[in-house]
Amino acid sequence: MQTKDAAEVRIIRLLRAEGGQAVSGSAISASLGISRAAVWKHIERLRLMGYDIDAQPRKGYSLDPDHSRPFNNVEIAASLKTSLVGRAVYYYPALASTNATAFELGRANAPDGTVVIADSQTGGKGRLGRRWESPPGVNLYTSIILRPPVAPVLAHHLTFVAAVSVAGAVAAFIGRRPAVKWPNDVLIDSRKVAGILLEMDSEPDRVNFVVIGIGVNANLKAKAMPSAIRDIATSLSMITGHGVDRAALACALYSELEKWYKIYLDGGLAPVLEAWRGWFASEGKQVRVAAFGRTIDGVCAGVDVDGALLVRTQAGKVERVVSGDVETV
Amino acid sequence: MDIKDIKALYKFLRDTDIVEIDIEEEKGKLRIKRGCVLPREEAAYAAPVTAPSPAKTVVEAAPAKPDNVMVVTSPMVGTFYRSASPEASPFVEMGGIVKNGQTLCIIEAMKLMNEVESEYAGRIVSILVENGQPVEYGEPLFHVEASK
Repeated sequence: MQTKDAAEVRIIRLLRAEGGQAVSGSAISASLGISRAAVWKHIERLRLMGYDIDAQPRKGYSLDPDHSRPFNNVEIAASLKTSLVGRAVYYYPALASTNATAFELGRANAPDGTVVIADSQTGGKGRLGRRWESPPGVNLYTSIILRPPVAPVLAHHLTFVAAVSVAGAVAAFIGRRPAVKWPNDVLIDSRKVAGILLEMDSEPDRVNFVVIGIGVNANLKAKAMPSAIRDIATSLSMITGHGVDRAALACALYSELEKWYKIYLDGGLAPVLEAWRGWFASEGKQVRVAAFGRTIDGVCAGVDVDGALLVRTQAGKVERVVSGDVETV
Repeated sequence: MDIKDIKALYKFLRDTDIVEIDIEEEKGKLRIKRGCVLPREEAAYAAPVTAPSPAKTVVEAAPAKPDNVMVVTSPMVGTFYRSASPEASPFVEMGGIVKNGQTLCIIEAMKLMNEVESEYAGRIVSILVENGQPVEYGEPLFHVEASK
């Protein structure tokens, strides 16, 4: 686990601030309030984490600003500009599922805003036991623990908070507007680039915490996709034609999430839904909703004030959908 | 038909798929309904047994819910799932023994999944909602007969 105040995170910040110039061991030692021997130990650990830190006698330590940045919790904690989301960052090379680990941390009283990141997942999950492809080295798999002061009946609002955050981060990152499929899949050219799944731990009258699980296909290549998703998925690098810095993507995502979470806490769902509608592409279109053995065909009439999907059937009846798969047809 | 016969009949029905049976005798009528699709708590406890009445009228006399039978209700509006995925086996079965904190079902609202856990140790005596059906806030989902 790393926080903004952890020694290694502060060392990376110090070295970055010097833009490649050397910082003496005694200056780092004084700044952090730790011994020079301890500084040396941290530098060694940072090197093992992939930081190319140069050490020169009498000059000190330097970090080449042009060297590619590693993907780990030190890098994310050092780059974060948020105060809540990412206040504690857990990174794992491999997990069964970031949501499952975040859920355990939530139960162990991890603070509001704790994030979990994995380089790969062996059991990345989607809705209703579906699989989320999670190979190592390419994508972003992260789960965020939030403790909203709302009743469990309102917790699904965070689905929309998450959707506008991911859509906003993706748009900022690739300079193209994605579309959001109800309630929270993020698509580019009608192909899924990010998926979101939320899980809640609650008492009858209060939410203990919500885990927001987000998977973003960042650098996944088409040929590395299983055939089952090749025609329905895409990645940021497939759209832009160049690689994506996953740590920077994670930080952009956490910044957006913090922004929208605050808007939600201050103003409720309405301002969030208003933004969400701006990304939503199915309104007015013919849709088919598959909801557990039941199919609803009709024209999408937008969403209700609570976020439920509205579908006007041919008979003129407006159906409210709270869960299901929606396809435009 | 006396109470012993009714008990035996109910026991027999419990092991079958029969959900409703009407028996008419000289002494009166008997209807047994056993269901999992009883959306309201007050609708029934487990299997309402209509007692035979002297007159030829059917009196729906659901027995009061015993004190040790606890109701697990839905924490939110959503869709009720008995298993983690359509292929997986249900979290709990009718008659199954559950521990305190054991997952009974999932309620989904707009991709927010909520695993509902039993607050009681005991036996599942009613499953009141069918898999994949919408539920309201506070709607009874299970009856758990708490262990003594």
